[in-house]
Amino acid sequence: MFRSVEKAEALLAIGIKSSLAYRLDYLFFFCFRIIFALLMLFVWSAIYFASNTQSIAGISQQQMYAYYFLVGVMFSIMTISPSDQLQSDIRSGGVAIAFTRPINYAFQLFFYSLSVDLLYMIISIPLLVITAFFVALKLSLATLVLLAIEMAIGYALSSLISFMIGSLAVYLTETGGIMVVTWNIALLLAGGIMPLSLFPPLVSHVLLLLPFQMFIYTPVSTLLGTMTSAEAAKEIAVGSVWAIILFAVASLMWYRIRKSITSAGG
Amino acid sequence: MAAVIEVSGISKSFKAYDVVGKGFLSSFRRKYYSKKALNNVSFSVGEGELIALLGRNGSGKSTLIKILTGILFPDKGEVSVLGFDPWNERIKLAEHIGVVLGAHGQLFWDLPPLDAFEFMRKIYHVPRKAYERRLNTFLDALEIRGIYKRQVRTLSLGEQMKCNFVASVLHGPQIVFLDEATIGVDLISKAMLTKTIMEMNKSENVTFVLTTHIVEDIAMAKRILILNRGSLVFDDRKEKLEGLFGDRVRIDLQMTTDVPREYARYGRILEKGHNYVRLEVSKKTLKKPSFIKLLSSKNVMDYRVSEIGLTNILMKLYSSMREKRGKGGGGHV
Amino acid sequence: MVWLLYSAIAVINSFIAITIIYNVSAGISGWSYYQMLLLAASTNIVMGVSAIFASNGGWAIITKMRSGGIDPYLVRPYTTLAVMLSNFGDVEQLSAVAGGLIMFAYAALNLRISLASFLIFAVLFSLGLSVFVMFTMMITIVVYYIFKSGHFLFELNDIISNAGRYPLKVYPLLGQVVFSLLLPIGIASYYPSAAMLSEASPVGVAEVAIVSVLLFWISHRLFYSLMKKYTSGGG
Repeated sequence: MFRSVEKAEALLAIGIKSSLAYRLDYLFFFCFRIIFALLMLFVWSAIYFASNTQSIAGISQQQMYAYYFLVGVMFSIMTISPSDQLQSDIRSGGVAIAFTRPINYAFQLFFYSLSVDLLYMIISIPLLVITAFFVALKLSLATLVLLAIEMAIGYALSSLISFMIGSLAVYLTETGGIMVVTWNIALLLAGGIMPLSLFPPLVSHVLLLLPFQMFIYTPVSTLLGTMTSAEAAKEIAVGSVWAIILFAVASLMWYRIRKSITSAGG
Repeated sequence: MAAVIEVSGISKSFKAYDVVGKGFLSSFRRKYYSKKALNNVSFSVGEGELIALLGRNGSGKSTLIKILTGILFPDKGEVSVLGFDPWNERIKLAEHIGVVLGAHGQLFWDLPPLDAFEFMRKIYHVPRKAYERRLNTFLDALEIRGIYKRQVRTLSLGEQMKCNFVASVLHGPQIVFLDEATIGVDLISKAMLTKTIMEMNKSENVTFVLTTHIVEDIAMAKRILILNRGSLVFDDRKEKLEGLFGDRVRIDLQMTTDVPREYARYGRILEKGHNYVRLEVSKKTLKKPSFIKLLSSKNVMDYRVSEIGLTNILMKLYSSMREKRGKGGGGHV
Repeated sequence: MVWLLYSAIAVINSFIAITIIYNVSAGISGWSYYQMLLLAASTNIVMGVSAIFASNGGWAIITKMRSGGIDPYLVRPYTTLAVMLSNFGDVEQLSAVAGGLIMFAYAALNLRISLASFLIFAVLFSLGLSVFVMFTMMITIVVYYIFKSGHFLFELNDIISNAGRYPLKVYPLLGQVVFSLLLPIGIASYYPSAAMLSEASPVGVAEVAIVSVLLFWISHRLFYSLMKKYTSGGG
């Protein structure tokens, strides 16, 4: 147990150090999340103005603005790192190097990816603080605990989906396209383009039963107070079930493809 | 000598394809086939041995190393390394072996080698004192004290190679696998690595398995295994390999006139130019009175006799294996 | 299979977003549902074509430049710009362009567009598209020399794509200037679409055309000027 903790700590440390070689990327991430939120602020201002109303589908103008800033905060949960790393390792033969180390490969992948994404999460905190200040979010202890659980499950789910897609690199020459496509779909289904409550009621209901809602919509709604604790608990349960299912599928996929991994050269 | 590696009847195939046709349509048509990378290979390696695994490109050397280290799974046969099943007990085995694949496999491109060393120390649970002692030894032996705190991407290939080697052996492995680890590395760096390997083999009894197709790398090995198209065609001491074609020598003759035809009677003409010939003759021929008389003639300005090097021995070996294949044969030498 | 998904995604996100907006609200003043779809489709086409030449907004180019990987291409017998345009793109984005064209056709069929208006659009759109592709090449080199960050280009590409889906007039003046002259998605998508839909005056059309040519020239000059400072990589 202790050895596993030490290995995880080593992976996190080396991953963070490697990522900090590209420090500016994190600054850009922060800036562009704000720019995206501002763009949507102007768009929705125009929409509210044209509609001559203070509320659209039960969402006030201020809540709508806050929604997009908080989308920027939650963006850090949607990770593509496992897929990127796995695809790169398989294509370059780097998976061979990883297999020579006394660590389970999936374990290496997860913690190394987490180290990259951890920095994105940290850089998102100021954005959360800024939004909380301007929109006067009520951040109680219960809200923060719920948020932490939701973000952890959301990150686990996105890691698993990313890992499963990256695994396809064993069979396909290129999985980058599939990853982009999946993530674009996920962004829509997660409420990253617009709140899920704006969708038709039946569609919205179905979307809340999918794993993607844990990436953005549920955590943001928890912060905004538009989702009650009971509803949040239900979504957490849905997310947890999906996490178990996807973990089982990912484990099976890895067991099957491990034997097929070939490395270049003979 | 206890066997640390035991390989019995392993085979491994890969699926590959050729494109069919030409032009744009060839992107859509493929003919799949199975390529046999290893074919019923068996051998064992004793503790403390330093063996060289030779073979042409595509002969199966890297595939064999990857099976021994648990990266790949053989289609058939059994493997045991230090008593572990490499595939099923990969993580346990990894703690006792070091693997050097390429020039910078264990290093992190944007970080100094020191960070990689620290990382390896943690994942292999090397006690701090032992780590520092070993690191200091390697820093001096490989002369990397001035560069191990610089970003890997700024280092030359030779420097990367040396640092990668250190990262792979810092934890004191019992067996070290080096897979074509010195390709493109400068002579000085290569010499330092060779010296370090031999020192580790002698003082720590570390077993080394190095794959290469560079003849100079073979010099440190006592035993040679040769793979050809996935089959093990030679497994013996280096001297035995040299003896295969070792009864022949090369003689370079500089003449004052055109080279007389009668020289062709004594051996094989390898090269012929203006007033010059290179012959391959048997050692017995050198002692023949008629040949000695030829060498003593006034037409011969100068001559030099040299042993056939390992490069040429291997070329002859590969050539003879090709001929045997052409005649429907081809097997163990 | 991925080809189909690309085109589906290009259509789906824009289509669904705009459809939902117009289902739950009055949309954007002065722009009907089909007009918005047409604008979004134009932007999808521009971004798709740009990605055919420089995937992820130029990320692949910067990655290659950092490691000296473009050297083998630079010794070939064609211009540097041709090298960049032909080797680092993503042909699969053709399907994103196809998706954009389908959505464009769907929107146009529900709008009354005269042939003359469409021709004006075609001319301005072609000019604007050239400007945008040249801009993508130029900004890649600029970013390479300033901070060598492929991630920046990826994010910038995303922002431009999002901004271009909506009429420029929703943004304040600064935003309109930025997305017209500095990040010319407006020149490529908004102004041609607006000219077609609102039957712009000849003067307005000429202004957009002249600005397009000027922007192309500036980007082209800057591209070559900065390429002189390329230092390769490796060792």
